[in-house]
Amino acid sequence: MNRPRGVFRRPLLYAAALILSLFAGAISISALPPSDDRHEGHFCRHKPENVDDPSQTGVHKVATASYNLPNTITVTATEGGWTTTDTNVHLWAVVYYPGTSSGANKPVAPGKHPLIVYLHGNHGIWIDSGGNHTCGPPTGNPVPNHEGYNYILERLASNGFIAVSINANDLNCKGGRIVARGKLILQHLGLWKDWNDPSKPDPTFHGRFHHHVDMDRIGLAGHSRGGEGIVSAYLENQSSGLGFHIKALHSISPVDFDAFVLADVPYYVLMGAADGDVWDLEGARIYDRAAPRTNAHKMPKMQSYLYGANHNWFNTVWFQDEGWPSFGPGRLTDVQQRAVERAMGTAFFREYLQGMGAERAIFTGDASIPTLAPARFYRSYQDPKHLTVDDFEDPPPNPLLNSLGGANTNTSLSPFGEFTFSEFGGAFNNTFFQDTHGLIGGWSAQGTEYILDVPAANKDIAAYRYVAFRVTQVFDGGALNPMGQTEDFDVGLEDMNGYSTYVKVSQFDVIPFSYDRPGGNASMLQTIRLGLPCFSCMEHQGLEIHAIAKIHFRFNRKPTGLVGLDDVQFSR
Amino acid sequence: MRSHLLLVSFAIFGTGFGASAFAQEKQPPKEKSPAVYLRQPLKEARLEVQRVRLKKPAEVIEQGVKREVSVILEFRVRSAQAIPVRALDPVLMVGEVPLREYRYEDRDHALVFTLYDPEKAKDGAAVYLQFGNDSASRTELQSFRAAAVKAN
Repeated sequence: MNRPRGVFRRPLLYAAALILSLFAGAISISALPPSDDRHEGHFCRHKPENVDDPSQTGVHKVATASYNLPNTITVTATEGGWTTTDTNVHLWAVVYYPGTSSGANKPVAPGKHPLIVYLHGNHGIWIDSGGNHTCGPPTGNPVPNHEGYNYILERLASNGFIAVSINANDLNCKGGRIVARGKLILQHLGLWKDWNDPSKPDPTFHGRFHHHVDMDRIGLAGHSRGGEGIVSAYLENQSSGLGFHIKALHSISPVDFDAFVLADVPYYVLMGAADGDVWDLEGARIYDRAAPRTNAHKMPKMQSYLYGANHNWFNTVWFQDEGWPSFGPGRLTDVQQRAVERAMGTAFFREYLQGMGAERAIFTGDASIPTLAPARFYRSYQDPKHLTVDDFEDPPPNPLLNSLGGANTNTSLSPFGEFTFSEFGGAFNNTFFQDTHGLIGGWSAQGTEYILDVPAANKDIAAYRYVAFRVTQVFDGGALNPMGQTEDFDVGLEDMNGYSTYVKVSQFDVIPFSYDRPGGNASMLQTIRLGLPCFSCMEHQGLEIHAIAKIHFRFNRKPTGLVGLDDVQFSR
Repeated sequence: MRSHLLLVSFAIFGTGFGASAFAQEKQPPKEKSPAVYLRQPLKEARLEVQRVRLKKPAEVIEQGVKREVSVILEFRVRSAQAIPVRALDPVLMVGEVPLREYRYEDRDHALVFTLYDPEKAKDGAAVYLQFGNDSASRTELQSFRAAAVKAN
């Protein structure tokens, strides 16, 4: 029996929710998760519990400090086959931490506090007489690149973190230096290990941080080249057995020079869609490669794709607007875009360093941050607990066979096929900037379906809470996806008795039109998570969740369309 | 006490509840930040190539193999504009040879690339500068001419 319709018994409530959700844009309504599967009644949603608004200041008083050690270091690093040596590299940083009172150099608040280290990217290092930031000649007035994140350091400190931002001017204005940046971070972690240890001499802080640094909970964050530098630091810490307990990584608009693969650490990347420097949105590649199949269940990964945000303004020192298009429609101000990092960065580290447990809902889309409006960002999220039905990575490419070994059926999608979603060849068109394979499907008649068979061995999905998949409108110049419009379709589950139920994606999320970048629009995947209660509750109680046979994608909400699809999963 | 996230339909009213996240910026926003468009060729760019005999041999480690180099080629790209310092690396292509080791000079109006193997530069090779794989930033330069190489 096929009952493709809504699941709500109170039409007015349903209508109100739908209308409001349209206003909500991408950071939409709170919906599903927590641990008890409590049913949110007519909305088929579950409430997250007690998520503190991360856009608000925390409870701690914030103290500050800085250090610039008299002894410099030499950093030797090999990258891309070349070994570089940088001498006279300074160990220079600013520190924000929970204090017994606010102000400079105050005592640390009682207790141990997780450590977070931020690292900036490539930028000029000298301020000339005209106020320009240049690579030289030296003027004696260095660009304080590391101070551009004070806005987030302060917020983190108020939330109980020791937040450090280190200067890497000595590695700027040079080629690469990603691995070198990672080594610099590790040098600073070594300092903090010593500053936490009363048995070590401490001419810098004279014991202020003794026993206050929680070296078992370290987070790293980086922007631009720093955003890849932290990945390098994490991997080198592992490969060299340095023993730092790095528990969370957060990149902001990172580059992807070295194609690193993260396999076992929570990772969050924030990218601006209007980035006029890293125009090809390289952070998406790091996200895509993270949690590879062999380690897919060892880490969560999450991504925010922020419409209207440029590259520079996540750092207050990088004042130039390189955004693309410059001050075009939908551009965020510098203050707006930093507010997103302040809230999301804080939420990420609260979740994965302080174990708050509820902030995760912000990344899954189950909770929103209302004070960030009008910022619109589109998320990707992969939970470590999931069953992949099809990730379209199995060689040879075959869109009619899924990763579980089940058959896929295409009724009349055209174009139709598996493609690389990459700028390096093999993509459907030149709007893809990711590092994954996926399905491209287009339709020009309503009712077209793509159906994935779930093998009997995987039929019981009661352990999961969502049907999750990544989807994007493919930018095609308006041929099948009308310019400026959102996309919509239905997703259905069918059990082994032939009973099926469908939900309309737009009831729960938005599949946006590509952010307008003249000559360079991107088709960027985002994750849609549809709660299983939406398929099995209320009138749909006939669906046998222990015996699921098929997942249906039915393209019946718009007369034409062209989408990219990836990572079809059952997920927690 | 911190406010909790407002859930379900309340969440969508944006600034209607709680303190606006934007009001919290202590550093005042810039009156109008200067705009710069990075994804374009350099203005009035030209190329100079110089053969440099190093006073002290340089140690080069490539693919883990260490060697000493005493003569190099320096490709100096000059521009009427300050050459941007970007996240993406500038790469100078000399024919099929990518040069990635560089330094800025002259208040960023020059970029100097080093070629440790001068014999790899083939006479007549096309030369262009590009940031990463941002082809919109490509600056075509004059071809490499061995006869035009200056000596230091």
